[in-house]
Amino acid sequence: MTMQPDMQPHTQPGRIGELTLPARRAFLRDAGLGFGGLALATLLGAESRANAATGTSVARPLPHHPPRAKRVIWLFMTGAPSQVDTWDYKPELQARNGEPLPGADSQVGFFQTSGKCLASPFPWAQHGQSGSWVSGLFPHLSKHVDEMCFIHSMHLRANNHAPASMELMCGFNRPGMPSMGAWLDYGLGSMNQNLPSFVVMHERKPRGDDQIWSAGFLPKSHQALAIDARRPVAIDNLALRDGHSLGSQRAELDLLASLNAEHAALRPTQGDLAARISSFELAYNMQTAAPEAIDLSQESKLTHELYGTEDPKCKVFAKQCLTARRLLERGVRFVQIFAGRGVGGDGSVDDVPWDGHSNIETNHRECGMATDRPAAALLADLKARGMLDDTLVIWGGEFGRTSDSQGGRGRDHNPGGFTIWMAGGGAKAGYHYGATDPFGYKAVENKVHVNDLHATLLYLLGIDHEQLTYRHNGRNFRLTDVGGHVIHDLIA
Amino acid sequence: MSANRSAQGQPHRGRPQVIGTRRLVATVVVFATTSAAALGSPTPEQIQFFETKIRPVLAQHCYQCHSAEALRAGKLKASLLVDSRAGMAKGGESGAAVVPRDKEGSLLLAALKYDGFEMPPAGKLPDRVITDFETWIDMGAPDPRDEPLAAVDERTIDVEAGRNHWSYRRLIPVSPPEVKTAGWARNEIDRFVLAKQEEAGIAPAPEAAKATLARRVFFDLTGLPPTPDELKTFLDDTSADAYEKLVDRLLASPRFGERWARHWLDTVRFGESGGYEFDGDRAGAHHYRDWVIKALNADLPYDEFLRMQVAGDLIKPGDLDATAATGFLVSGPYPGQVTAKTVEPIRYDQLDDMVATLGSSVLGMTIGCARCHDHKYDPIGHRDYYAMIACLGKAVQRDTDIDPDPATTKQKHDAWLAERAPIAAATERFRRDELPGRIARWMATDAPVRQAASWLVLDPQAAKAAKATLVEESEDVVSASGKLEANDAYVLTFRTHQRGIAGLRIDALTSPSAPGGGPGTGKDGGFRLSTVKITAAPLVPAADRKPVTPKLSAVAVSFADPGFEFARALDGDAATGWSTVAQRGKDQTAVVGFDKPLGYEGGTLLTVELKFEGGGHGLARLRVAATDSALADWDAASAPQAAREVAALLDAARAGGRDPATGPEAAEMMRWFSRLDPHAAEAQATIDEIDAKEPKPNLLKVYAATNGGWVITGNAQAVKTGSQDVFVLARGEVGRKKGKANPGFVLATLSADDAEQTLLSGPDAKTPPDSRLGLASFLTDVASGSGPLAARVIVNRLWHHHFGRGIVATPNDLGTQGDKPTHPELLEWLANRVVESRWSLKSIHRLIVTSATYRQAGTVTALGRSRDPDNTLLWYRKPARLEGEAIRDSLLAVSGALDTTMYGRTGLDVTVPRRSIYLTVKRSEPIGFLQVFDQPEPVQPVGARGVATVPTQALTMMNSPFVRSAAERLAKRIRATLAIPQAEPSGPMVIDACFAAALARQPTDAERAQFAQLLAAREQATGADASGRQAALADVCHLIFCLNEFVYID
Repeated sequence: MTMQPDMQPHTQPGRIGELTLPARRAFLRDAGLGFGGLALATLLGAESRANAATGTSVARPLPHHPPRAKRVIWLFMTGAPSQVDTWDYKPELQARNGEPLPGADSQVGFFQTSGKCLASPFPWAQHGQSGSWVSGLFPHLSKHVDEMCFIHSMHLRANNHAPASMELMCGFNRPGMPSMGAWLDYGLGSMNQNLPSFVVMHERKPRGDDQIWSAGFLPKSHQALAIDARRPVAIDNLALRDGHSLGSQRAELDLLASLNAEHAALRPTQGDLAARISSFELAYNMQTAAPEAIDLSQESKLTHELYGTEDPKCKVFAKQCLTARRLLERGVRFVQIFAGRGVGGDGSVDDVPWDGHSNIETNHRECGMATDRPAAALLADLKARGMLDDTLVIWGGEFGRTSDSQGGRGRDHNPGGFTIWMAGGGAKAGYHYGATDPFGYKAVENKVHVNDLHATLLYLLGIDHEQLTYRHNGRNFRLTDVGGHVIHDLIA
Repeated sequence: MSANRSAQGQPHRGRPQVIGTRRLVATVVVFATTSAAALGSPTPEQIQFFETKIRPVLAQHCYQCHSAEALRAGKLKASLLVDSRAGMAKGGESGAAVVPRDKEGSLLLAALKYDGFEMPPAGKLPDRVITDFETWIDMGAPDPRDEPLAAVDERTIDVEAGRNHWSYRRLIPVSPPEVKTAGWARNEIDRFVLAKQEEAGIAPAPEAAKATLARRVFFDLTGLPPTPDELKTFLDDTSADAYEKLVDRLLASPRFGERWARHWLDTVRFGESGGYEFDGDRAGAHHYRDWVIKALNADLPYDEFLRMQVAGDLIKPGDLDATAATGFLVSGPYPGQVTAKTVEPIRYDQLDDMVATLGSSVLGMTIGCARCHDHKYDPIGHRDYYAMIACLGKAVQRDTDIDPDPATTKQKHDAWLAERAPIAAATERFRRDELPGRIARWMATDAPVRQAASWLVLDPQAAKAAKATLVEESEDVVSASGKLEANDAYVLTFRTHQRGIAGLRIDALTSPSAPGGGPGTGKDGGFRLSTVKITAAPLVPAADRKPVTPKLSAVAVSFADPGFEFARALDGDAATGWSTVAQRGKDQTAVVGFDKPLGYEGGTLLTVELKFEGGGHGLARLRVAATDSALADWDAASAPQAAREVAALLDAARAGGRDPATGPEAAEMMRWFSRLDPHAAEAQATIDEIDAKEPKPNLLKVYAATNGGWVITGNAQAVKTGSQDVFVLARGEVGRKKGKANPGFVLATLSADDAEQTLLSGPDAKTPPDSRLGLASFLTDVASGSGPLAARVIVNRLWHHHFGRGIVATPNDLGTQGDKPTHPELLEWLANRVVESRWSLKSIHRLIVTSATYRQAGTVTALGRSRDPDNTLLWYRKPARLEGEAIRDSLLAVSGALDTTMYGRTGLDVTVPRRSIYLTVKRSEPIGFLQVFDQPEPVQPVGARGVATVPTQALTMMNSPFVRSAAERLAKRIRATLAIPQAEPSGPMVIDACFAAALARQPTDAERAQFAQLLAAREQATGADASGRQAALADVCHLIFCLNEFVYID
């Protein structure tokens, strides 16, 4: 079957109707399941979509305003890259290596830091029309600076990986809250019929595990589908069982639908029985749609080369980025990739590869090589396909790192100031917003809290962050908690 | 200025349900303490300064959210007005914005500096502007804006009004109403339900068919379907009380506790790992789950059930059940990595987790909302929150060793003592009669051993590593094997009677069995010793003998890599250390000196801790020697320990005028001397042998709450033991302590304010008990505590699980924001009833499931649908989807695989055929099968599970190996049961058996025909031999599992 972004509701004519029984027919008609076009996802989504007719807690229908972005891909640089070794050039820090760091704050960091400036060990140069400074870590991404919208003044509260990752994705540094992908699925529903709306890809699970992409207290139907790059089977239970073909399964499902319809007809007030009937049809379709969507052999050799799927230094991330693009093309709304590590074994830890506590140079070089080329390829590819205009790409880690050294050559955690960039999807191109102090230590100008980032991202997706709420434990919760300002300066 | 707020005004009359009413407090402007009056009129220059430097900034950056205009527009934030002098002085929720001449006390300035608050939010103002504000505050904050303060909509908590909230008030006796329809009601519940239906003009559905009812109540009470035999027994029983007898059987079944414990575990966010970083396993956490199952099966009175969970360790110290119960408090997720910088906020988060769980699960209140400020809607004060966590201030999580059967342990120990007594007497005789002579002879003949040697090679008493296995390969050498990984840590202990020990020598020895040949365990033979810690403790404690940790100095070393000198192992920095990689394959030695000599009278226990951090490896083989001169050459002569210890003990005894054969030195001396003398060795071995047989209790590690300092365990990097005091935190921030919090409770749930002290001081007011005991009393005391609320909450939970919706549809919130009860009188009656029945939950279950309301069929009528489409009046039975656990357990049960072993730790393998409640709840690895069917994340209390329908559920049912294996097993079982010699069971026969097993009914003719057709079609594909027929039948079973009827129970 063919699938296009923003496709029309999928139609699956014929087969389901072959073993007809009057009761089932009547039931399906009652339930709005005409044979000509089962709007399956619509039906399923309607159970818990924010603006569905029942149980709503949303003040206004969604979208609240015309969206600039239709889909999001978040390249999560797990472990937290150092802002002063990537995108936030600080000549003052370079000049004063080893000298006491002005404003060194004993409360910053997770372990112990020296209080002495550690210059970035990487060469820096300006790139593009925007003249953006980029460290030598990103020979490929640096060619795309004119597409990027840099936020140099990010900050958040938590200063260890798990709570900070929760804060960055869910707005709270404690578990149990829905993540942005789940909120989007709840708010906007699905754009496709046969695939989940929210997909997470990781190699080893990052610290904080499923809590980072949790549906929290939202219905489980908004849960992410997590694809573990290490596993031979990407999606559980997708493969037909032994001895079965789609044909034989179809025949069984027809009987199942018929029997379930009879059962449901006798229980007319139980709406979820119809949804469960539909869920088997959607599952049936997913069995062919999902493997097709993640089948990279359908991509050209040129594309594989562009992403670097054969390059041992970056192939895992390359395959993830390429898979992500295929998913986005097929109507998946939110894809998040948690960057794994490279292959050099320089001391980076699997689940927090960018966590350069002991040696920022070797650690970041390795992580840069593992992610730079695929991320750049993704930008180029999205642009070439005309998708970058309405696809928001986000790059960043869960916090930044200290400008002073830890153990001589490493850097400790620093939630007080770090850089995230966005590209496409209505973000201002070639633009720099906010600033850290002259040493890159703390955000000081136009500070952007996670709540503000979320408010802005939701805005780009057509959502007023104060109006996307869900009632839980006696309170209306939202992604932005009680904060968040849309930063209009970031919007093109 | 508004200190007597609570005395002002009356509760708002227009909104009776809203307690602790929001109301307008028309605060009278009091100028007496503001700058103008106190400091005289500002000078024109000062006014000029204000008008040019201050007012424009306020107007531009602050008025949008903090002015009378913002208030009118509904945009006022934090109740703070900065558009008048009075507003600045009064401040907002956090206190005065500006205090003249007090820069520290002026929150406005802190906010401008982005210290704590960050204002304005769009970005910090330029430094020169902030300097202007400092100058202005220093000059007394002159401010001519003397407009009266606008009236801010400000909420205060009215505790008295709160006590009248329907769920907080004392229990009120209720009588069931009269009903018109005769004969329908079976018990009081039905009269409450029917009365409402009659009011609405609708009638209840008829009673469900017996088989339907059986399947319903089996799942409801035990989480499992009836077996065909069980069903038959019930259907065959035609007595009038057949159903009641069935209910009693099910309530008495051990499966009951397994079913209902799962509901409780949802409400207490039960997990068996830490969550966050590393998600460390809590090996002893399942004891709590097991205790819940036991308690529910035993119908432990609910008040006792609660008291044990809050304070079992204090009520019955050392008792397995009581200790395990407190797992309730500490089941939450806590960060697994704690440093000095995070320990305090983590501790307050932990207390918050405890109190929020307690609030939601026991009291149906969102007390967590009061962490930062008074609850916005319910009468729960900021003060109440901190009073409650102060009750928990000492409670921390620990693995406690518990003897599950102390009586047997004592019995065995007594028997052993009896067996040991004659041997001990013989040893005593040997020491007295034999030993002195043998020692004397040894002294006379074996003099050389007493010669001076610079180094005394120590004989380890114990050697343990965090990762590797340390073995004493000879008297003095310890070698590492097993997990030879980086970042290990070794701990070695030694006993000695030497005095004046000035230093230790650590010998790193090569090892043929190490991957790199040693002396390190690294592949390159390397190690990196990053930390050395030595502790000396007296063997015989005395007031003047305190354990010491000497300051260490690097005295000598045989070799060190450049940059990895031995001193780096002593510098306190885990990232640096001593290594000798450049000289791989050679023995190495380092000498560490002490700042003052060690060694106690009566002997010394030396503990040597060696850490190999920062990715470095440990030592493959090592030996430790002591010296009384730290300056001794590292390669000077060594002597073994035994002879010198005997000598030292003799000297000590003589110096003290004691008999070495009978005095306090005797036992130690014999032990050392046995190394030197075969007779002594034999005598020592005899007593050692019996001592080794000392029966040890079979201790269980129970993860539970206990009183202690707030050490936070886990992968702790720099843990400190902190104060057990709890402080009130402004806005919930640990940096803003507002004084110590005293233990106490939610005032609005007490009968009167003074009940707080009564409950805290307990029945015996002489010794104030632990405030956690007070908390336990508070929760369950019906007369003066929150007992009435606890009763309402629990009966509503039971109702929720029996009917799919509680009388209050928000079972975790019976506050003003929760749903209103659909049948308030019924809820009140049930709450009274549970208290009257001495908190027996089973009695309530029995009442509910034997009611006519519960026994209704699913028949819907047009009239009913038009008058009460949501069935809030319970006029028919709605089908309900089984939870993931019950679906999985059903699959295991109907396929005959279910292993009904109870309790213990099972692991994460979904195919292990134990009931789902026994699968380990690891926070980072939820069981996929259960997760896909809405098992909640174990991080927050959940009272009502969501029921989503998603295609991954269908995929699981269609394709998962787990469901498939259940289908195959059922097919096999059916064929075995129906096997007739020389003949295949017929299609209709096997299909009937499938339906009976999976759906507890016979198929209709049409269904039988359809499945027979499917079976035949599948047999064509799979072949007509026995295995082919079985595979085809498995397909039939599999399809039945996919039916809605299999997971939706009528």
